[in-house]
Amino acid sequence: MKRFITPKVYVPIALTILSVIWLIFARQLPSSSSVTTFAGPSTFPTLVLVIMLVCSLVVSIQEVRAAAQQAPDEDAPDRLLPIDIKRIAGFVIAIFAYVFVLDLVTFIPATIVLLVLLLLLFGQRKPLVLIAVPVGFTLAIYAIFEFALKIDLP
Amino acid sequence: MFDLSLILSFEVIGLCLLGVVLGIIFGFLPGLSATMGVAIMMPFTFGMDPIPSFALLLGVYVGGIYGGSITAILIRTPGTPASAATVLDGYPMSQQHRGREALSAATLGSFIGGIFSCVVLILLARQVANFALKFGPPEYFAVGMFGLSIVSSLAGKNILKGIIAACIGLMLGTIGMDPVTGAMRFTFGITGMLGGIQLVAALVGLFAVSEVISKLAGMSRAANITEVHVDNSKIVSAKTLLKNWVNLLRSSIIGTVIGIIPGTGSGTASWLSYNEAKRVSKSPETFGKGNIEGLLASEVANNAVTGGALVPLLTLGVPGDAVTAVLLGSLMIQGLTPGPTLFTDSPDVVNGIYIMLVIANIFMCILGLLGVPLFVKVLKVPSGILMSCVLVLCAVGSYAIRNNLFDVGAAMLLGVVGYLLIRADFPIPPILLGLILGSMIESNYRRAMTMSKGDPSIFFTRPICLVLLVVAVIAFCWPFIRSLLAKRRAAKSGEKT
Repeated sequence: MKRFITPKVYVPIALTILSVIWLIFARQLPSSSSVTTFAGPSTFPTLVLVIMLVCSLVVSIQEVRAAAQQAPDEDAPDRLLPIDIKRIAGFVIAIFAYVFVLDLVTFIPATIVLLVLLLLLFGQRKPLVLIAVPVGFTLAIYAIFEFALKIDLP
Repeated sequence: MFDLSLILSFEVIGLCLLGVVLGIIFGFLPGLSATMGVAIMMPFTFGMDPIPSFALLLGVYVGGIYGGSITAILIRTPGTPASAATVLDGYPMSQQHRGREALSAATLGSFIGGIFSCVVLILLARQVANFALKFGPPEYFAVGMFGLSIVSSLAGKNILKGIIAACIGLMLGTIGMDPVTGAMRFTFGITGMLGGIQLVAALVGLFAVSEVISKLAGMSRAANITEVHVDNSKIVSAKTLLKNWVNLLRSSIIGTVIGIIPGTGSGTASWLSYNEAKRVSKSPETFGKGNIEGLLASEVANNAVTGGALVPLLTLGVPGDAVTAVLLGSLMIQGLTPGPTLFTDSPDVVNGIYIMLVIANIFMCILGLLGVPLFVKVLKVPSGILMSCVLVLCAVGSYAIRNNLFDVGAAMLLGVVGYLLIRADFPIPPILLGLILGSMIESNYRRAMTMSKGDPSIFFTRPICLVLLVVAVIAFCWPFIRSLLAKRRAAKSGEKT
């Protein structure tokens, strides 16, 4: 069963499902007959999504067949280890939390905390680096964008 | 007789140099762009005479288009959409300890493309401008389809995955306001989606954020995460450039022609040029793995757009790309009316623009080559620190587009999606192609159908459109034809032995 839980199998299946859902929304858009142009807002998305659906379905079938023919292999070179999955999960949580709190906490503190977390995820443990890089880089970016380029940051 | 003292003054030369430096910085930083750089610098030129004003702005233009290649090569983060194709071979080159070679090739390639388009601008501006007038909605649709046809070349082993990736890009491009009727599509009531998915946010997300995740995921298997990168390569040799003279010439022509066609730009030129270089290469399988031909094709073409885009601007008052649209505003602020009368009423200004564009390219080349030893030091920064800083740069760059946190979220989400797609062996470049070309293809298709009152024969009765569509079909099928021919040759040589 583990050989089917790989990105090569579940990504095309997810894209197939996404194509169907997206197509349902696309069909709700105004059609050609309800607008004065000869091709309405739904024409192009519908055409593209039909192509995407067909191709995703074929690729899903191909990948499921390929996975079924493979011997179960725990040591596949590109299979992620549990520690890698935890790192990625930590990264995803960190970056989306950063986006959510950026406006509340403002740029400098939010970015310093994010950089510390990222450096820890990348295995950095030296205290000097964990302080100097986040503070120095954040302040440098802030100075360049706010004062030199006059682009307001949160 | 043109008065050279108008150009050869400290003020004008100094402003041009400053412009190139600023342009390189704007191009270098993800999220900023040459367009933004020119727009930001334009108010500073209000009190200047036309020639000093254009010295600064053209310097920013040229430097900005080139600057994106630096981060594209070093950290897989194209600074501008013009350098997205440069990532494909530039980044692998830097990973193979050939960063100096890649950066110098990008610099010299950009210079060659820029100078070629300057020559076309100076010698043929008025003649080639008539060519741009022949382009209407059917032709623009055909150009878009031609651009999209290179998906087959970028798809790798599985063409269906390439088509799916292109479809994802095309669909991302439909989010937001419908360009023809103004209806909202797939916004789900989210304010940030009203303006659609920004190209730069998609660029940094799909290329840079996904790369950060890849590095994080690969840490367990990496030999040594604190390993310091050593680059022993040399500046690209004249022999290598001469060996690629056909590639350089072809890419210069593609970039200049794309620049002349209004409403296209450096992004389209670099992809088309990359595809052509791959198509005619003796070793197309090495593209995407550090082949200097691919890098040269992309960089020559994107800078060749600069001179080409000025052709319709100066001769017809029609901007060739987004940057020249801003430059059009600058011309008007200076009290100049672009078009045929500009050449007769203000010949000094026109000649000044020509010369400043050449000088800007020279400064870009000198600064780029001098900067190579400095730029390459970035690779010595430990991977963990570099990737962390790259991610913050991506977030800030995405925010800088519209001062909107939605774009930051979109970049991060697309980074995660991009990583999953890469793990599933889906190619990323077709997504960007779809996003860049989707709006052009759809809106011009619909305009063409309105022109012809629903008759699709309009695409087959206009010569330029028909030729482009036929070439698009051939370009799409070419990788399969080539593969078939290669198999037949192999089978025949097998039979003989």
